[in-house]
Amino acid sequence: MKEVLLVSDKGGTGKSTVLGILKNIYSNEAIFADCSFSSHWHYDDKKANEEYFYLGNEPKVDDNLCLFCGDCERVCEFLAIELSGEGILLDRQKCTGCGHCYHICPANAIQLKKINAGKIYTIGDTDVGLIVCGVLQHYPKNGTRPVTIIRNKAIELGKLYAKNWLFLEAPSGWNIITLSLLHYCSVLVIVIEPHAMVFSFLDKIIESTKAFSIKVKLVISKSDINSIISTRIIQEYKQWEIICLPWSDSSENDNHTYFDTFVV
Amino acid sequence: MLISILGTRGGIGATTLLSNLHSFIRSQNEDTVWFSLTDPFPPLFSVNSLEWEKQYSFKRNIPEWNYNTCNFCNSCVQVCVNEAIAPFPDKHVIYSELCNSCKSCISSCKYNALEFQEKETGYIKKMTSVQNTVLKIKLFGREILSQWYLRETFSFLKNTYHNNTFKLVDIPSGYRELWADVFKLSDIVIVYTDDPFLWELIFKSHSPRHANLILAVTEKTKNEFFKTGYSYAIPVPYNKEITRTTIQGFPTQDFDFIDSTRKIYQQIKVIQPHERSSTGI
Repeated sequence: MKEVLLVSDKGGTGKSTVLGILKNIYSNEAIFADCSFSSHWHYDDKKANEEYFYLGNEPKVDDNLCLFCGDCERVCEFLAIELSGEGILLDRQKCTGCGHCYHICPANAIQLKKINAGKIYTIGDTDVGLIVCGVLQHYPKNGTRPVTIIRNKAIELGKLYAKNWLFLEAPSGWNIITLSLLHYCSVLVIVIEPHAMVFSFLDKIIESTKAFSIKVKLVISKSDINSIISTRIIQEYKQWEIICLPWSDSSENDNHTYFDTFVV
Repeated sequence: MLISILGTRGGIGATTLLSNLHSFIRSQNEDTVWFSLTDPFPPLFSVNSLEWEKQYSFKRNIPEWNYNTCNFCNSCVQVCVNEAIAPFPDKHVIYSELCNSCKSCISSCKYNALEFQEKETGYIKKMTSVQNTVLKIKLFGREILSQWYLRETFSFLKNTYHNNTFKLVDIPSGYRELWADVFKLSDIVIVYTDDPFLWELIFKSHSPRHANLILAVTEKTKNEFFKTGYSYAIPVPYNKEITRTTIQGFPTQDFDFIDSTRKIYQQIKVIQPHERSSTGI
């Protein structure tokens, strides 16, 4: 199963739109994973499957066993747990799940509970295209794990339904989360808007992908709203296949046949 | 007065809205500071030469590995909840972007091979080539924006600038884990959304002790909000001309858009006297 990763430097460039176009073309050959948690899929209707996922731990204090000694408060590096008149108070925002309080408690009154980090949805069917996406709760500890969970689920389904392609939409930005998805892909699709800040982003990608043998394709979304920059991008990044998408008020009705051979 | 903008999805136009609001507030002769927590910087503030001056250093305690005393027992690797320590045949590498300074590894090491060292992991820089006060965050290497950086940034802003200065903070979308702190630490949060369901969740769980909320919604979805009782939602238009002027670096001339920024400013002024009186001016 070959992997195609869609990235961008900022939100709103049109990654999801491009993914939608590719979905119409590759619907029954591929599985689609939205790792950006951008919550634009309508998962209330047509949802095939919904499951919770858990990330990290959080202390839970049993008030009956607690001795009110305050050791947990003293050992916490993050000032997240506090002994007060009403008992033990936990600041969920400050807690990092390191477990020091759990280890130090002399009465074993603290247990570590898995945090419900969010939900993973599988929408659609194998004809129209299966999409794996998710929503995050307010307080999950992030890092690369939520993204990996979505990707793993997509791979599981892809193998089950013998799909040839996996299209992944990464969260915006170029950081460890995007890089963690880069290892596995054979095609990288960069979706950008033509603004002055985009060159340092593209140069960062060149630097990061030197060590990988990846085919890079560039989509300049809304290319006609800043043609000076669009032209400059085309001139400077000749080594990549570049597609210019002009502004469209509703891209579903547009003709996108130039994407037919995009990832081959 | 610290005002954050929170776009509930990437590309909704939060930065565009906030940068135009910044222009509007400045036109009212109010002291304003722009702070960008996002990497792409609004072209609105770009001039031909981007010159910066470092204002504040982010320093984090990251464990430093000592080759001489390490016994390669790998207790530190096993105990790290963030998987931030990677054992190699001849050394241990600590990935600072994954480390949250919890000290578990240092505590677990019987050979004193790990010790905290203060490392600069990023900084706040100020643009010197413009008249406006424009600041941006810069993180090194693979460091990622986290609650720690957010808290440090907000403290820096509150300590450096006067209470009455409008401090506009552009929060990047997608960092769901930062939202609770944004609500707690800001005076006002402009929630810019196209999702009535999500707004309902935010509104119902919001504490009156935290920031005052201003609801801005996309023009396309305004009726959904009005129907469900949120008549105070401020609709914001989105079209090719607005996007074009923004991307080319000018404030928009779109009348409806300017009207939206004026309405937001009016709501801010309604909230502001309550803030002022608490500082006893």
